[in-house]
Order: sequence, then structure tokens, then C-alpha cells
Amino acid sequence: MSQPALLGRGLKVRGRVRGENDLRVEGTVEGDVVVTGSLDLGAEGNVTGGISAASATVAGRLEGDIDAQGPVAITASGSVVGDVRATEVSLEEGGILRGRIDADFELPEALR
Amino acid sequence: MAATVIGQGITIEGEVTSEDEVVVSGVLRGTLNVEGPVTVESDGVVEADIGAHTVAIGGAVTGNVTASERVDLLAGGRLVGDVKAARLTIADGASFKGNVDMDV
Amino acid sequence: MSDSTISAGCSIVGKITAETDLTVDGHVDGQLNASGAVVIGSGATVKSDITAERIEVAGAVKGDLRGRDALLLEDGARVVGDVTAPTIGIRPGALVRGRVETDAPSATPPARSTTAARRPAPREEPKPAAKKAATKKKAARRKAPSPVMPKAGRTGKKSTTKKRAPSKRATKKTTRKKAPAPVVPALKKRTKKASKRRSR
Repeated sequence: MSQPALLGRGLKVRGRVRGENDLRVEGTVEGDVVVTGSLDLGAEGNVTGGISAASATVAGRLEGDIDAQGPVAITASGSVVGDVRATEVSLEEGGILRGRIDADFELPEALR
Repeated sequence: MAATVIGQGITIEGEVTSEDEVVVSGVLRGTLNVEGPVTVESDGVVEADIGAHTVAIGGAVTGNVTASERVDLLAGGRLVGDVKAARLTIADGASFKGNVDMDV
Repeated sequence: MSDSTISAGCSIVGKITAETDLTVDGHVDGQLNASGAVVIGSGATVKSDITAERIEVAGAVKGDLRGRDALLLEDGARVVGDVTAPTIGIRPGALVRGRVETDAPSATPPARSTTAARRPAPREEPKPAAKKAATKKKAARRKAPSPVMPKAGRTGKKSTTKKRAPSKRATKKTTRKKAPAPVVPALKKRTKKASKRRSR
């Protein structure tokens, strides 16, 4: 299993980032990030663009939508301004989320 | 299953239906139908028709009270409305204005 | 005043107003406004907007939730509707279909964890502003995490002068006309007058 790729702290990318495995972003990306593995947006990381990944953990700043096949976690230091589509979305108190969550589930009979 | 407690700080305007006990210390306006006991505490205010198994009134009730078993109007209780129940007690110190039908 | 409960076997169609805490384990169809905490138990089914100081949901809700202070969706929660509060927690296992909005605190800021306290409060502001100003401000704030203790002349002045940490003894470049300056350091300019006064 290869190590996750790292977009380091001082790095700034303008343009789309694509990857086959896991990716950790500690720098700045102005553009979409599309990976087949998990995306880990570090506390110092900044992404302005959409994220597509198998799963995502956001501890930094994201301005854009998240489209994940699996779960998305927003930590206490994370900030997401955009919509999130995932199997499940968790948000730690202190974290910022401004956008829609669209989980797929049915309400019980009494509320339909 | 636990009882429903409508405490002093609660006001309900609507229809309340329950399978278990309801205790009212707050305010209820509407209707109350319970398959079990109803207790209106001394600070409770109920402006509703009440239907239950047993009804104990220690507070203020304005509405008709129908019980399959018994109605007890306690001291300090005030009822304005008709009572329909097989058994009825009105304590000394209670106040009551209405009709009674014990032929259930 | 003791807390209130709508038990599992109870159903209320109408409007509920609560001045004390309320737990809902049954069914509510209507409106729920509380000035305290509202807890929606795991078996509850609520078809109502809920406004309260604090809201905790472990059951099913169809309606908008507004917590003036905090809002928590626990594992097992099923919410269809918009969710708004200054602090929002969504535990793994809670499912939401709607808008989530962690808005700015109203009037009194809620008690926050230390992590959150270290972050500057209006976080969303730097974004639309010029990136340069934002990073400068952010860097300045990082250097001075607690605005309670102003150190004379020391507070996060990330300006172009060579001096990074001027000593308590004022150097010729600092504007030290009076007692230690309060923390709005980035705005203070060093004047030539001050340097003349303090020539050491």
C-alpha cells in the first residue's frame, strides 16, 4: 500500500489535483481535488474548489462541495462552505458547516 | 412506559392522546384522551374535555370529564364541566359546577 | 420546576411552548418552541419545527431545527429539515437531509471548547477579503491567541520593521507614549516623534 500523497504546507496549487490513492492537503489548492482514496484536509490546508473522494476528513478550510462515496468528517477546526454528499457526515462542535447535507434515508412511517 | 408529565413551564394547545398516565402541572388547552390515569396537579390548568380511565383533579379544569372508572375531585381542585363516571368523589374544599352522570 | 416529558405512548397534535426543559419520546405534530433544552429521544417522531436554547436529537424529526445556543444530532438521529445553531455537533450515525448552518453566536457567545476558543470568532470574514490581508491578520491573531494579556508593543506586529520582539524597555521605534497599548496592534504606527523622545 503506497503512502498517502502530501500536498505540503507551503505548496500552492492552482488547478485541478487528481490522484489515485489517498491525499493529504496541508497547503492551498485553488481548483478541484479528485482522488479515488481518502482525502485528508489538514488544519492548515485550504481548498477552494470541489472535492471528490472515497471519504474525507476536513480539519482545514474548504470552499466548495464534497462528493464522497463514503463518510465525511468535519473536525472542530474544520470549515466547509458548500454542500456535502456522503453516506454519512459528522461534525465536531466548533467546526463550521454552511451548506446542504443530503444523506439517503427514509423517515419512519409516522412522519411520511 | 413512563408517564407523560406536562410540567409547570409547559403550555400545550392541541389534542393530547396517550396510552399511559398523564400528569398536568402546566397548561393544556384542547382535548385530552388517555388510556390510563390523568392527574391535574394543583397548579395545572386544563381547558379541555378529558377522557381517561381515572381522573384526579387537584387543579383547575374547565371541560367535560369522562372516566371509565372514577373521577376524584380533590381539595383545592376546581371543576367546571360535566362528569360522567361510575365512581365520583368530591373532597371537602373542592369546587364543582356541572352535571354528574354515574349511569355508565 | 421539574422537567417535562412527552412519553413514548403519547401523541400531541398542536403547539407546545416550554419554559422548562422538555424531553420528547412520543409523537409531536405541530410546533415546538422552548426557552430551555429540548431532547428528542430515540423513539420519538416529531413533525414540527423546533426552536430552543439547546436541542439534542436522537430520534426522527421532519422540520427545521433552530438552537439559539447549541444543537446536537446523535447516532440514530434522522432529520429532514434545516439545522441552524452557533455550535452544531453531528455524531457519526446521525443522518440529515437539509441545510446545516453554523451561524454566528447571538448576543452571548456559547461556552466553547478550548480548540474553538483559540480560533478567531468570525472565521468566515477573512475569506472574501483580500487574501494578503487575511493571512496577515491570521498570522497576527495566531501570535496573540489570548487578547486578555496585552504585552507592550509585542502583540503580533507582523510589520516590516526588523524588530520582532521589542523589549519592555522601549526602543526608539515604538510608540510608547503611555501605558501598555491594548490589542489592536496592527493599526498602530511608529512615529518619528516617538523615536526622538526615546533615544537610548
